[in-house]
Amino acid sequence: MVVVVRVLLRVLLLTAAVYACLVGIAALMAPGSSEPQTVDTASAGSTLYATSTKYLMFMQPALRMPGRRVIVLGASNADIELRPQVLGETVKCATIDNLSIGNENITELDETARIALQNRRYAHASSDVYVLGVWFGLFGDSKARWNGPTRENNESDIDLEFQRYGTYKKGGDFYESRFGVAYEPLLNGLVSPFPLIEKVSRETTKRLRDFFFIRPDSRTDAEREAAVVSDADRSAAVTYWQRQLGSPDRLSPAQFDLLAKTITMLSRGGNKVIVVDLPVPNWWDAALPMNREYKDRLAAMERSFADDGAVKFVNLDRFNNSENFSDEVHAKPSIAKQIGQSVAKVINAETCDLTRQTHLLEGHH
Amino acid sequence: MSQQEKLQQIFRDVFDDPSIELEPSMTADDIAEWDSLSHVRLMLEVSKAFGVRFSASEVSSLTNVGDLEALIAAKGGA
Amino acid sequence: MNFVSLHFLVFTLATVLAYQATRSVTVRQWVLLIASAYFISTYMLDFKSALPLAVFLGLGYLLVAAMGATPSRAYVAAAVCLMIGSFLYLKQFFFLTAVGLPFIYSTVGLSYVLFRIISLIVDLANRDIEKKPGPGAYLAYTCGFTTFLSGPVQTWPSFKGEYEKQPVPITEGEVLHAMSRIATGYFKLAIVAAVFDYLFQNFTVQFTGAAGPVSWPKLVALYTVSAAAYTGYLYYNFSGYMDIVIGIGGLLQFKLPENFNKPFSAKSFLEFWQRWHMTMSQWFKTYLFTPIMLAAMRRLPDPRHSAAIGLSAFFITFLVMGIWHGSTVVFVVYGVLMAFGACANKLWQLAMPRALGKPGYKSLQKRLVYIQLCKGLTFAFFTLALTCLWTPEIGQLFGLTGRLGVSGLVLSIAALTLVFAAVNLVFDRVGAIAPGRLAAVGARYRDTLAVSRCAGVILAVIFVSAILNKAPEFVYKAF
Repeated sequence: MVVVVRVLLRVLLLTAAVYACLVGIAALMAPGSSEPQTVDTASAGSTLYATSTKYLMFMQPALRMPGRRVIVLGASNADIELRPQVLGETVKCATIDNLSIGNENITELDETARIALQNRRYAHASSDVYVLGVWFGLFGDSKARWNGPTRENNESDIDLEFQRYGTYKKGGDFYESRFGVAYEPLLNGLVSPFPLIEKVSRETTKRLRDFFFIRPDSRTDAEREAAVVSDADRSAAVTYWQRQLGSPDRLSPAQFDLLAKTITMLSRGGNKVIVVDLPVPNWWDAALPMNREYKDRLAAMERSFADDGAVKFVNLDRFNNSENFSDEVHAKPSIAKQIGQSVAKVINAETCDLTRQTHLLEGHH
Repeated sequence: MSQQEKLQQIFRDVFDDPSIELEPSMTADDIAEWDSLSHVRLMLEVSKAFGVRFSASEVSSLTNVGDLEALIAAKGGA
Repeated sequence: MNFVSLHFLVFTLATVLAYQATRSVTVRQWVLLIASAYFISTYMLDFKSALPLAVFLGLGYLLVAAMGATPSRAYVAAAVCLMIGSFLYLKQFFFLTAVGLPFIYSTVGLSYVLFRIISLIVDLANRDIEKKPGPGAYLAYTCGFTTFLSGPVQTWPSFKGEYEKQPVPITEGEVLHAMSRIATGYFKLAIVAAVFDYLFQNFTVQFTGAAGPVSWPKLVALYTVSAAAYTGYLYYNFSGYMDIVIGIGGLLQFKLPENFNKPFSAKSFLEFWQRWHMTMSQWFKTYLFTPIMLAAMRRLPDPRHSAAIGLSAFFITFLVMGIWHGSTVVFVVYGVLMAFGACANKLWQLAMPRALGKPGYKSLQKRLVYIQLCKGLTFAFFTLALTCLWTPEIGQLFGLTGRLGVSGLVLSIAALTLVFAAVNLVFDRVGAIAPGRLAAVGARYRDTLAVSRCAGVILAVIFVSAILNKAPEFVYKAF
């Protein structure tokens, strides 16, 4: 028995030593505290964390920095149409964070909102602005959206990420660090070799995966600007979204209820919520009844928040000309910039101008 | 005729090869025609010649000529 | 209990330490029994779900215990039929689904328990076993945790020798060798097989289920690489599991038989089955193929009937072996394919000496191109037949083969044959150059390499499991 234990200890010691080296390497490669502490999930691919969900989980401490924030939530169209750089050209009184996660539904948007709220509490924040970029594709039932062998309880991508390393447990608004926020950097540091190895494996196999497997669109900006959506593309998009939404012709009412609850949750405590109805190509109206259903339900929701000064709805249908889009949902780069600039003006009016007015009234210049 | 000579003759008849010279370490790899079909035929001929009966387990588990010679001797084969 | 889990590792460590802590044979036997009982309990939902297994074991023991010194053929036949019938009923083969038990129960390991019970009955009847096992030894033999899920199928004499041998102190070399074997197993199971599974899932999703229409050439290409990926997944998953259990056996100083011997170096389908899942092949050879052959050859002793008898015996044996893999109709197709492969191979082996003469056929068998093509065709046929294992419904199988058509399947087999032959040729060349030099280095740093390999595998397994977001499961426990 002693022999077995002795050999096992040698193995475990060597394992621990190699793992410690990997922790050191990962620590060197992680975004450091000297770097700008904003969160932009679009930059995940160029960091150690590779995916937007992993990036969001590890970059939570950046959300705890003091100062006013504009936090963008939504899916991939919010990601490209509400770019922090574009919003920041107009909005000067707050830092812009982008927490968009591609292919999400309202359930996952709500989870992202909870992550933001929970972390902003550490900064004692009270006047943040949450910008929710929505479209009908977010309103698919979670049973249809999040299913598969690893999702027995319809766990979203964010759920899986928080459960992956065992460093978080369910609690607080969503998930909290297993041994409390004081130990969070230590725990995340200890598991940092995992994203390091995943990043290395992703980079080394990227070309092979792109060639052999189905992968998301990776066109250049110039290609997107020049894209023309054919009838075959539209037909494929209809089939795809019917599958994603889990229904041939209707959206999930539960997801609308959840959006209303998310808006209410975010708008408490002095925060503001701007719900941006992001445009989609107008051919959707003839292709599926879902866009019409979405518009009707969103209009009803807007009416229900009419008396709430902390909530504003923004309609961008003027951009819904089919030629403005590089596919069935994403605006071309030039249009995306215009959309971002339009929304930035609204954010600025709701946020910074009011602040300036308050300062003037209180005698500040 | 000794047991080994008798066995060798059976091998030569079953595999139709008069040049076969048995060694205790000889296996199926050493004789091209020695496959699972001819192995059972071989065991039946050995069984008849030596007046012994082999179980399926014994037939399957033999790996070389030496094992076969030992098995025949253990069963009192004559 | 998932093999790639902390639970299993802690369980194994506790069992090994408890086993090695004593020099008493009896205490060691009790440790094995208790560990096995606990291991099996992790596969049971509740007490009720374990009842069918308990009754199955009890029935087997009664039949063994009730056997006289010289049991009649009728008794042996009835006993074997009763066990097989019970097995078919509990596994709910497709023709019995209407008369199942009214509760959920586990059939994990049942196939291998059946193998062991039948071999006990038959070997006792043939006096290949002198003394009947006691209840403790019987349970340890049929349900030992190292071999319960999927073998290897160990004969009773071999098991008894290990079960009753006097303990000797384990050496550091033995521990390192066993741990290295376990590390190799985890590398194969949790990394190589997991990667093949990842490839398989990502390829098959492009032409099955919800995927849109795919052009025929693309379908053939995707099917071919998917099938090859599945074969890689199955081999590394199963052989990795075998390395783990044999390594654990090593830590317990309990020698278990090998189950794989470089199966893809086989030059024929029949040789393949002497290298793949060897203990199961040996079992079917001993208890099905050889009795059929002996009975038929005794009735028809003329050597001219040998070929026909052999082909029939091969057909029946491989058909049963194929059907054993699963309880649905698609496994009948698998069995037919296995039987066809075996018979076609045997016919080729019978026909070629006649066509080319014995010296001509021997000369052909030594040609490098012929050897590699044979290996390639063996791999290709086995790979295509395995389609039955990953299309579990007969409708799906026929749908897929319908879309591929005969020409698609022929193209697929040809591509697999040629690519495998080419890759194998390269590997054979590299393999001939490298081992000598590597072996010299390896011998000098054997212990350090063993420790490093174990540490490397631990890290690799936890990283890959996290990246693929699932702990790999052992696939053959479903059979």
